[in-house]
Amino acid sequence: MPNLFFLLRTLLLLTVIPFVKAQDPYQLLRQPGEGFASVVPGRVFEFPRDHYPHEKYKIEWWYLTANLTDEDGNDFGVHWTLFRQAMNAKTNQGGWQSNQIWMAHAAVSAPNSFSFSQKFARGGVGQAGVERSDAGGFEAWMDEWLWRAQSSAPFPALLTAGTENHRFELTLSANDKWVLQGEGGYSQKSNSGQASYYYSQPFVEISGTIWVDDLPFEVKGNGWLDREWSSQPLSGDQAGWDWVSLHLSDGSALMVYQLRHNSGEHYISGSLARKAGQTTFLGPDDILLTPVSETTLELPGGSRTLPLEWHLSLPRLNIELNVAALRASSWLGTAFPYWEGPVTVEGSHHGMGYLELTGY
Amino acid sequence: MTRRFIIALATTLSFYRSNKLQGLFVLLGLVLGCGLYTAVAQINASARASYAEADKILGASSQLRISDRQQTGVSVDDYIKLRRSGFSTVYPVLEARLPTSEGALISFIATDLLALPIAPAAQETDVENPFRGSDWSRLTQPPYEMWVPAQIAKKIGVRDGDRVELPDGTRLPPASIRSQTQQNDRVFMDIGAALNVLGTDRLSYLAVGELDDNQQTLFQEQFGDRLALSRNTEAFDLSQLTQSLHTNLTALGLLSFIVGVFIVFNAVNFSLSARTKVFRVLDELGVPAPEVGLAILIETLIWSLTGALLGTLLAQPVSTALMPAVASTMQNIYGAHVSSVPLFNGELFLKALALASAGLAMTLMLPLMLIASEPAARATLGPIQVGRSSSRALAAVGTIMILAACAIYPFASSLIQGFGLLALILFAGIALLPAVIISVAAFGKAALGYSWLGRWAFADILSQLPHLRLALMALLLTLIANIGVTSLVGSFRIALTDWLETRLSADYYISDKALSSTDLIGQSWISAAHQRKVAEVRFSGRKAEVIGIDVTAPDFQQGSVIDAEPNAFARWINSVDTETPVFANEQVRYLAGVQVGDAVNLMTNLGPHAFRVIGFFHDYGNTKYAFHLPKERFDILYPRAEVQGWGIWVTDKDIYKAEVGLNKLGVGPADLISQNDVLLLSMSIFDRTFAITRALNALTLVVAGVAIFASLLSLYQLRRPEYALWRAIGMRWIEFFCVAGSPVILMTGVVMIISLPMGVALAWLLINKINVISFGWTMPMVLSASSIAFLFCLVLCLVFMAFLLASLGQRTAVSSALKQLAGE
Amino acid sequence: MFQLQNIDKAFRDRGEVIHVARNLTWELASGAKTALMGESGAGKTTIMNIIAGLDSVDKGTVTVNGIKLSSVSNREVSDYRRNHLGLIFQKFHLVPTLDVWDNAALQARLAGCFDAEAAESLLNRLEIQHLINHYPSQLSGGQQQRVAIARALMHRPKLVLADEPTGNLDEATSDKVIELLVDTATSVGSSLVVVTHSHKVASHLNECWHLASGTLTPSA
Repeated sequence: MPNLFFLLRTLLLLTVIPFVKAQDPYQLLRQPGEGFASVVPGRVFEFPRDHYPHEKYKIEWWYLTANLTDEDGNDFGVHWTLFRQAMNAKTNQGGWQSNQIWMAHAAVSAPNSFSFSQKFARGGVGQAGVERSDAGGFEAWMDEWLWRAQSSAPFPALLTAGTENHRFELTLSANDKWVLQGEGGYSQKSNSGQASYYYSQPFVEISGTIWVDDLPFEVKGNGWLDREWSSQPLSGDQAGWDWVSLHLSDGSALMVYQLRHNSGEHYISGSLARKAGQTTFLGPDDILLTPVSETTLELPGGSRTLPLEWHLSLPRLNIELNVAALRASSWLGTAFPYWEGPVTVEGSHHGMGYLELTGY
Repeated sequence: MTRRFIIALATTLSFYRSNKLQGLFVLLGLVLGCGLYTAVAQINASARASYAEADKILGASSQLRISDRQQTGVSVDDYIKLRRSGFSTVYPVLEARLPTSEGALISFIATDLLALPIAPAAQETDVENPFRGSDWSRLTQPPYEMWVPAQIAKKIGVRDGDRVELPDGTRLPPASIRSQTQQNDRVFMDIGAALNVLGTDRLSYLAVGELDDNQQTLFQEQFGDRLALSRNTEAFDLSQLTQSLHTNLTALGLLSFIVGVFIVFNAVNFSLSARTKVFRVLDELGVPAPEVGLAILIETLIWSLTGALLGTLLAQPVSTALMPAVASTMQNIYGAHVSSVPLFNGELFLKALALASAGLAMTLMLPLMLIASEPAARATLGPIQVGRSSSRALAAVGTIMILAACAIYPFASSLIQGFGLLALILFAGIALLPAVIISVAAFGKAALGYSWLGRWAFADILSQLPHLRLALMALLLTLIANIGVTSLVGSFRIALTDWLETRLSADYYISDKALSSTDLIGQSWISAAHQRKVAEVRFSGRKAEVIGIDVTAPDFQQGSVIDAEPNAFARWINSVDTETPVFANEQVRYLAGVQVGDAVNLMTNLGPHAFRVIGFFHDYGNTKYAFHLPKERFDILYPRAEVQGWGIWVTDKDIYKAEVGLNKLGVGPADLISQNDVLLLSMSIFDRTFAITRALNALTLVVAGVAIFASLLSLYQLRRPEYALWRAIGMRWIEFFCVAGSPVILMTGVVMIISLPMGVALAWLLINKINVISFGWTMPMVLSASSIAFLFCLVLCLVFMAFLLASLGQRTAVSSALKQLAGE
Repeated sequence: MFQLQNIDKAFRDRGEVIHVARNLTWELASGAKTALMGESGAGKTTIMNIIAGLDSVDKGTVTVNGIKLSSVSNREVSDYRRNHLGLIFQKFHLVPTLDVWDNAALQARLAGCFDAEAAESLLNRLEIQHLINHYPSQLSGGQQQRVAIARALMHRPKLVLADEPTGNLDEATSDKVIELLVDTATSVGSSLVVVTHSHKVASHLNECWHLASGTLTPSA
């Protein structure tokens, strides 16, 4: 029965929106953002204003990943995202006519299970959005998934969401030292100029409960919030990207992303942040990211081969890491299919983190 | 032995090589009869498939519905609250039916495609991405887009990009000719677009799939005071309600099948009697009778299969042509959404094929075997003897049938029994036909003693009767059915028009949310306003309405009450009885078996309440039960009843002033309809509804005409030697065709004479039995002399045409036969 | 009475061409009582059909009662048959739904010269007066043929053509019928041509012609 509904919905969407190029939803990100605001260097970030939607830009997301452990030391991974897309560059008329569409993902990786959930909503009617509540607090929500903060900044907050088998209620807290990625928040994605505005909060402290099939687990751990918006994040010849965010044993937070070109020459960049506040920008010469092994996942849509183990080397900083997926089963078969799951870190440092593989 | 058998088979089949026309007629009869029957079966199946989907909306489950307890429609606010409370499988629906400025009626459905529920992701399956393409923008942003299914676009004459106009000048979004799952004959818009265009801020209702007990409890706790959760029983209701209509359609299909079989019988009879010599020769050559029988059996099978196959293929275009009318009937009477494009069902196709083949094989086999086994005997019996003896037997059977029908009539209470009565009447008519014709022939011969030509013409009736008998029976069958159904439709139309005119005396009908009583006070252009309040309840397994009637309103008619207790009206108004008196519609009497004086229990806002039925009223075409209470009593028992709208009488019929006034009050096109429009709409709905029966009637008449044509051809062929003689002794062509043709016309006259009383009897049965059993209401029977006269003229023309066509080329044929008169 | 002038008539029968008449000339005077004889398949019936206007010739002229059959319209040929020709067939060809009286009167009525009294006396002559209310299916072969004779003679035609009139009758009846035919034809004043293969039948007539291989020769 669920399969039937799923299929019907798929068929429905097929008639709603015929796709341009079969099999590749990421084409959306490669389209030149005509009419939309452009990402240019030198932008001044303002908080809390920038925590909220930038409707003139085509794509935007609020991205939380968390590595949590329960009382028995079992590792859980939670990832929650809210995506915003502007359908056109016109002024947002609001209400049902809003030109903003939202998509939300939630995924929980538990010791013996993994599930994800995808939701869609149109903007303007209150079903989804990121806004200041009547009381002035930051709220990001879709349907019953709610990130409710006590102030106009995202932290501290309570996040409640869930999938069919997994629910979570997490208390999030962090300071307000935001890490501007790239050059002052201007994060370049390719040599031809594609870029996004990108900032993060790598040091989120989390505690709460995860229910696995209604069985509660008290968990604690670290999380990472990414905020990014752009009008064309990928160039025409970029297939996708690999992104990794790690909490290392020395208390630093390392983020590396690699944009893969069809021609082979990948664009790589990253940052190393310390809780105290310093951030080191990492350029292509500073990072060596190589896949170590590949795993083939058998999925309903066909099998996919993904590099779930990587070697990450930052020679100048004497960091040599082996990053491996904790569990292979973290494929999200959503509208933009991707793999996202917790990873373990070994090598010069150890720790936990999250790996994201898109465009495979 | 096989070789001998094959030769025998080839010999018997060789007949068709030189008589291609006969073969054609056998095929034609099979195809027509089969085709029409299968077309009806396919229509029924398509419609039923749509009902089964009634618990879905555009592919999403809608087993439960959420509606507002107080208002018509759920607020957007409540919808969002529900979703944010975790009821994330709830989705908004807006439904409307609006007339266009050109008088067409369009059904709308609007929802939020993004909100349609999907089940928890069945992991690892790729889903299509709504985050791209300009489709979404076009659908959700001005000027929006309206998805019109191809068949509706064709019906209302809309092309890609056209903007349909509503009577008040509002232009609907540009049309895009496309459709999605289960959209059927409805036009689709995004919900935001619909709310904007239709000028409303309330959703018709919210739909949701199953909610488990926990969720339902949660719902009641959080929203139960404001919102009502009800189960969508539409699928169940629809299949119940439409059962009768589908049975009616099936009956008409069967009629066609029978007429088709008549043609086949005729052709086969001819082809067999023409082959008696062949069978005798085969017998003399030593082919044993069982083998000849087997050859005939195989021939039967070949015909049946070919005919059934072609017939089921023919059913496709026929059902495609008839489906729109059926879909509109379903929509208008039952509110069912059926696509006007029939569903091609492979299984149905095969089943129909098998049934047709088997049925035809059986019908053909018996006479074939009989005739084949006694060719010699049959040859010696003159055609007249055969005619006389069997016609007497048939007349006896016919009389018994009529008596049986009279005896059963008072007791027939189910649809099957009702149709059984109809069948008795139909077949009694055709059973009596030969005897009546023979009597008329004898009488005519005697009466026209003075004219030898007249005597000859009447005498020739007896020669022609055996060959034309079956075709005439087919004609009689269709005539009786035609008269019956036409009278039914005619009576209904008159009753409906009268009833509408008395019930619809208000100039405008306005839906409630557009106006409140304060708006109306003091408006100079209003002479009277009557608020209509309705409570929806269930009674005896069906939807029912309780309506508060304002007895001071100008449209209150006392006269439409039928069969009431003494002083019922006064008692009803004053409500002095201990049990609340109530009037009920006829449907309550016929379908729920309630009599005057019975008590009924209905749910009110104050709990269950006992009412007493003190009278009934006509309520044509209503598929629900209806109960009328005086307004004051109604307001007490149903304080939370839905206000459906207002009836407004305009001062001095100053329509212009009224329109301006209404406009000023903010009444939009979706809220308003004028009396004239309602009348026109109702009658056009009515006419479209009965278009199917008219089409099927006409088709069966044509089929009967073909039967006559075919019989005349074979008549000509069989009687060629006699006809040649007529020419040999010097008869002129004019005289020839007069003598050859007048029996046909005379017999047709007899057919018409018999069809009249039988048709009236059929109409009576349809109105007072079938209609009552099916729908629960009756009406006075009004026979239209002009329609019947028209029908008769049509039939005469049809028969005359058939005769003319059959006679084409007979002159040459007869002339060549002249040479064969003499000689061994 | 009639004149066949240089007529040719042939037809195909299963691939073979059969010449019924080769440059045939034949005349018959008024009042003649002639037998036309020949082998089976020689074409006697065809000759009869030609004279009756029921069939056409390939070449030559056919003149009956002064009317050239090839140069008049179908309607006139039909009228000619109606008014001046009587036909008698081996198979009787009575109208099954009419009684004896109506059957016998049929052609006379069509020709518009029916007279009840004359009819009665003719039927008397043919000894079928007592059968006038019977139907053909109730009559014996001989009786049926006598009705056919009545029909053929009632309108006092100039010419009566009889094709094997006794073919379906037994010997005794044959004699009776042929006698009556000749007798009644004489009384009415009609010429008579009888196609037959029976010498006994031919003996009742004055002349006898023999058809073979497309030519007619008189027999003794």
